[in-house]
Amino acid sequence: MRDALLARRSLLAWVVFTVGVIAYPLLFPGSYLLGVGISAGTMAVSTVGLVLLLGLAHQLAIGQAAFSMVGGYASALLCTEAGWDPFLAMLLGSVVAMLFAYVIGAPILKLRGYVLAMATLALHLMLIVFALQVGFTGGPIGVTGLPKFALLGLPLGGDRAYFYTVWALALASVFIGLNIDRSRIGRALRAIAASETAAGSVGIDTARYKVQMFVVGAGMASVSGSLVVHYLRATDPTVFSFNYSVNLITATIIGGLASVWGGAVGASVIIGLRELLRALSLPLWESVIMGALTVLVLITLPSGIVGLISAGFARVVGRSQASRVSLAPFAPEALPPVETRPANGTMLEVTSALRAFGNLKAVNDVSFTVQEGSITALIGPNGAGKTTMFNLIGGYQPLGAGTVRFRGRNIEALPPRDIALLGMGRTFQNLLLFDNMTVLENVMCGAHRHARQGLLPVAFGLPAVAREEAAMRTLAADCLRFVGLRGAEALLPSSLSFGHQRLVEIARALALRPSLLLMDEPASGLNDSETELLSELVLRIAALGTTVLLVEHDMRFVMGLADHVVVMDHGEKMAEGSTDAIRNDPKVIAAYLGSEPVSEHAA
Amino acid sequence: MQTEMFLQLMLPGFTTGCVYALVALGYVLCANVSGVVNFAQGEFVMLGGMTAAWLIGQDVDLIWAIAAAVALGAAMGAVQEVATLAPVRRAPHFIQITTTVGFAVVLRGLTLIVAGKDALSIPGFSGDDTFELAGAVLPLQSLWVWGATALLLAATFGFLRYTATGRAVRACSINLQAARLMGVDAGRLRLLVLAATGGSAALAGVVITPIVLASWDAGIAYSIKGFIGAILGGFRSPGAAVLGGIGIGLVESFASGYVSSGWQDFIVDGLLLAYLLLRGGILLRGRAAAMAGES
Amino acid sequence: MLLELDGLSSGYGRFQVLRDVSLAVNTGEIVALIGANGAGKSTLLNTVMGLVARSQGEIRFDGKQIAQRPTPAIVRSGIAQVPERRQLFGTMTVEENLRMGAYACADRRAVPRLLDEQYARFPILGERRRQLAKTMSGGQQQMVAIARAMMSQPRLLLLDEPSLGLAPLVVAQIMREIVALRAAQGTVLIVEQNAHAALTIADRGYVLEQGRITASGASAELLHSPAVQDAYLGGRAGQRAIEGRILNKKRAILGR
Repeated sequence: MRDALLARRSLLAWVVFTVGVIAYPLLFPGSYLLGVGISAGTMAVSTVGLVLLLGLAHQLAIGQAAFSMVGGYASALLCTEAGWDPFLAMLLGSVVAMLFAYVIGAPILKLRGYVLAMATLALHLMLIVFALQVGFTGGPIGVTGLPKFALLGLPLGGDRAYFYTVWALALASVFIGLNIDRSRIGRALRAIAASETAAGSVGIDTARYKVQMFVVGAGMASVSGSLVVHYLRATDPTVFSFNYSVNLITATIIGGLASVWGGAVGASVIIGLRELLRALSLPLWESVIMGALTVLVLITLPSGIVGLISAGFARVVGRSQASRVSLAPFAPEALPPVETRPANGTMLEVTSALRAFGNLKAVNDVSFTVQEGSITALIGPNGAGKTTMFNLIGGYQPLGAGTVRFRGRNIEALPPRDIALLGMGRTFQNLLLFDNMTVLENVMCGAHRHARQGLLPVAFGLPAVAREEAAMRTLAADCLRFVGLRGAEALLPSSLSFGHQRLVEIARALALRPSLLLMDEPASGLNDSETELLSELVLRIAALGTTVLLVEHDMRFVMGLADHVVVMDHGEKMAEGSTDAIRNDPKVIAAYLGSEPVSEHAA
Repeated sequence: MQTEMFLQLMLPGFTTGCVYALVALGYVLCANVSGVVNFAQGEFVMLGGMTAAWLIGQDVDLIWAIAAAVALGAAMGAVQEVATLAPVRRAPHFIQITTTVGFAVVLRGLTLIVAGKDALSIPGFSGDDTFELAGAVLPLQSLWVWGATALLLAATFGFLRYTATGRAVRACSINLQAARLMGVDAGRLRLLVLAATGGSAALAGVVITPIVLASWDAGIAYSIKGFIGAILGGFRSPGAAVLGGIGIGLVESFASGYVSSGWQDFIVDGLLLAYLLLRGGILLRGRAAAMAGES
Repeated sequence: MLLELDGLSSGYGRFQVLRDVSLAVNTGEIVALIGANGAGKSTLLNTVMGLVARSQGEIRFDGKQIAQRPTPAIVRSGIAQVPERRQLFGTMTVEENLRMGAYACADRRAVPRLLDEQYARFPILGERRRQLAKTMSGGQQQMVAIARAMMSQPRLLLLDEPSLGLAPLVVAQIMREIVALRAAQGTVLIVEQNAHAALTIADRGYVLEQGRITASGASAELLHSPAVQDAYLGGRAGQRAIEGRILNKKRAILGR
């Protein structure tokens, strides 16, 4: 349902903008106003890229002007010195800019977020010095006498023609931006923003998608720079200044941080504002007003103009549908059995695992195996090290010593997303759902690893991408039917009850089609009847062929479900065996209750 | 001859490095107590210098100009916390950092409107003479810079180490939850730290202006160089941040002397870029890479 | 009654951890709150301290309502918590940690005397006062945490799982210290998973299961009652029934 709404809104936006673009030069044919329109369009190309980077990937890039500079100078030099066709020069410029972005972004995006911002600023300042000092860039004077823009020989330099060219490119950026935003890449980025940990658990490669957005943003900024330069017919080191970067950020934020259309809207608003200030003879106020607007919008209206409308829609839809969520019986036939390549019986093998913090050994020389197709429980008192053990298996913490073999492969050095790609799924004790997406989209994220189409096919909206999307949507719907949750697809997870949210998280993990599912205290926070239902769900999951390893405190749950129990205490394995053996083991009872065993209560 | 040139470059580099050190220190303290990288840090330096210079241009006495500059810096720090950071406390990290960028731009913009585009200067506090130190010739003002820096550093480290409030600031950066259990009001501490770092940066800006001119757009350079200093200390250790800041001042000076003054920014910024590329690219593999990304 | 919880419910958004909890701690008592993990014990203490928002019910300290008050005010009114897993300021020295405990203290001149009191109580801390807290052993860290809380001269001391992660011998030592505390300060509420250790030193106890109080009484009674074991290992009749049903389903679905 939400998709239909989105599609209708988008169609409306396309119509409005296309009509607006076509009509503008006819309504405002004067050179000055056309120039304003051209400025808005060139900025829009950049802001769309920045929406992807800032709004989706949450990367504050305050040096976008660097890439515009690359494009601008590339166009200027290639066209004047080497007589290149402007369009081709623009393309080459964007390729160079994207290469820069990749080389810088790939290593740096592994570090904390704010670091990239400073790195791009550093790059920008370096490029300015370079342009000033090096001879062939023209030094402080720069490059002049650029030809007007042309597309492979077709002259497009006249004001009106250029306006259409610029806005055609802006709308092309929007097209690419929307394709990315609506694809699994967009979902992946939203997932990373909501919970990087949970995103990793479904196999999403955080750094990779952030780098991709950085590269796309750089390419768009570069194109924008070329367009500016062809309009000015010249360039010099002062054209792409720090203020340029700031204006871009302000435009992105005003329009709507996470909305691609917002980028175009924001650019238009900012250029309009700039011209208004000039008309009022207050050009010096530009900085202050841009800065103040940025702060104000972030504080009061973080999703900007466009986001305001979207949120209103979503909330209306959410409210009317919340009451229609219901639990149906599980539909075990909804999902086919999981294929696990025979791992000679052993799904998971932990050997002498060690994790220490200084003197404290959270996990000390623990070894156990999990048989394929079994339901194994890891239990123990608080502080025993169970959660740490889980984190060691899943890749969330490094091992100090020991090995973990999953389906015959050593995984102790792998990060969570690589382990997820190998077929290990996970649910979290405190629920890590992506609360910025609908329930269906949450579950679709689980299916992330099944799709293959990369950035280029996605950006250009190739049919194969749509086919994959449909397949993921079907799988997600099937997973929701499997867990028996009906009517929740279009809702935000926060409007569901806690028990229902648990089901969504399980459905998401199932969409991964895992051979091993790690469940971290799945029964916590559930009442008695919910706990019983959950136990049946776990059994149905096991019936699919998925091996289950769970950490749990609820003894009724554990004793009823588990084939095999591993007991930890004080970081060490203290017992292992069947449920009966464990239940009657005096050491286990003592570990839970204290040093003296309490007499057994007869049923 | 060689050592003379070396010292002739090193000592002025050390002097500007003092300012970068204070900016770096400000970054680290802000980050530790509020979790935010404050891009406006360098703007406070600019603000201090420009305010004092503008007031002196209006025939205000030096001592009052300095006092006003420091007061304004502290006030702006407080305003930043109350008006722009506190309201977005619960928002995602990148939004908080973006507000600091916005605030920096506002400071720049206001300075531009009030004081105009031209660079301003202040006469040296003890006159514009020079003195000699081990064969190098330095402006007298350098002594003021060193003195002010030493004073501010001593005050800061003394505060952190020996006072109850300073201890509370450190406690917040180590374990905020536990600090709250001790009755620490984190909001008030943030206000204090932001105001104090604003005021200190402003003072640094005032003392350096007789040597390096002040202008409305000088803030970025301070912001980025101070940042380099802070990041070399991992953004956690105030001591390392100070050393990093001084180091950058030295590098900048040597680059300007041994390579060329036009290229000095290129080299300094290039250093930051190279450092970050190395940190991210070569030294992070596998699980460490995945974990480093978590803030 | 020094501390009174009346129909308290609290949690994190939709995840309500505590449901309608009522208990009382009288001046001069040691009261134990025991239960398995996930039962809500830490949440209860954190709600009292103002770190977790309550959704319903009342918290009264010395007759005064403290439920919506900010944490610093609650600390100043005389409650101190020794948090779960100590939560020391690891890179500060022992003495600095203790001084932090006195942060809410209005009278700064009392601090040296208070420090001496703690060093007298825990001589090992006095010996190692300049050592970084994180280099201390688990038991010593627990002592630092307790001493730190005592620095604010609280009328009510909340202890969150002091035995966590400690070897049995050390646990016994810590428990002895807590009993000695009662002689000095007055009132202790100790939250524990280690039922035996807690009930041995307490006067009264409450059992918390899945956010509700399911049993209470004199600690000697509780210590030997089946209620306690049931709370941990699920022995109660109703719970066995659930377990039985799950086992039946398992046989039906998986055939084993």
